[in-house]
Amino acid sequence: MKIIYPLFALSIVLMSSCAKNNTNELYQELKSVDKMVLAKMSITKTVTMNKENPFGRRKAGYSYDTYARAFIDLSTLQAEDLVFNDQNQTVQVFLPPVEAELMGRDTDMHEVYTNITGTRYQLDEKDLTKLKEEGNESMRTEWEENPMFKAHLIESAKRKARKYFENIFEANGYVASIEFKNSEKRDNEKHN
Amino acid sequence: MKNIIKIAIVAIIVVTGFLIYTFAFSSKGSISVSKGNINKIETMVELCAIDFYNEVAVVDTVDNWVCFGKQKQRGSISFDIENIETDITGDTVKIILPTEIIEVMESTDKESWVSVDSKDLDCIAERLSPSRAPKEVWSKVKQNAFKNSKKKLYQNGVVERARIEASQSLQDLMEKVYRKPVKVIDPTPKGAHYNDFQ
Repeated sequence: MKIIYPLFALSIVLMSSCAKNNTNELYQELKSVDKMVLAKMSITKTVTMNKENPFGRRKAGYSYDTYARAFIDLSTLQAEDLVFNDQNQTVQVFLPPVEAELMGRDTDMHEVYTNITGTRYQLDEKDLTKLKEEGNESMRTEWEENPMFKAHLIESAKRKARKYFENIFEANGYVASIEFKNSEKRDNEKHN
Repeated sequence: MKNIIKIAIVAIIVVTGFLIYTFAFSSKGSISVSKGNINKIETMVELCAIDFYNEVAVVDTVDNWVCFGKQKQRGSISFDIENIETDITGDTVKIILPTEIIEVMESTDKESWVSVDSKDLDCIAERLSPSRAPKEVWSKVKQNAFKNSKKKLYQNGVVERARIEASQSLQDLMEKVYRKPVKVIDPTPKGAHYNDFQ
């Protein structure tokens, strides 16, 4: 009977040591898209923990980046959206509107500052995960409520799209003028 | 009477211990989050053919720590079409499809990373007093999970599918631009880095 316990312990250790780099998909979603990605942005968030009691303090600041991108949906670009004038060697291009979306975030957080004293223990993975969840919640709200991020990103993407299509048509002997579909309409509505 | 004194002493010790523990290891405090700062904006012209979302269970052994976690990943397979090789001299425009760019990141959805458990294979005392893997170990575990996901994209033919779809989409776009037939040549149909992930 006594031999059962060491054997049991050994089997646990052996089973554990077999767990080499095993990633199992629980769910997967693949989506065919036709996006022309024109700009990417990284946004830094710093999360601070400040806890104190008579036996010590636990202060720490960690930062991480969230990434966003701006793109046009090429599947909506029709042949009629490119109007050529062969006599003048010009082309008018009406591009789909530029959209912006969040892509993902850093997996690791970067230590900015720590001051942990007395009986307080160092921050571990669970603490860092909690800090990042707080940061992420705040980032998602800010992304929806603060138009500044999308505006900067979309403006950069529009500049890039103009430059790209102007260059590509110039190489083909045409002068291109680039406009963006719905967004131009929105701009006009604003002016009116 | 002696028994009552003994019980009282034990009770006092337990209560004192509890109070010390409570004061020493817990405290009132706060977590604050700064406003987001734009760190960098980069421009590019990339054709994105596939977006994906994965939820994975990660079990990995790093530095004799067995770690178990759950991760939500978002990613895409894209192609740099700003610097593509294009031959427009003939009746048919010829374009070489470039190397795929695979991005896999932790999602911004809620609870996109959960560290469930870890155990130290080196430590016999682990059975009595469980400890937690250091954050450097967890970092490697998460990086390995990304590598694994990339590998599966090659093994399951997702990269191959992305290259086929990108070729078609590039052809459609360039035929509108050049107004003549376009042929997209794919030098590595299974993926430029297919062999690196076998």
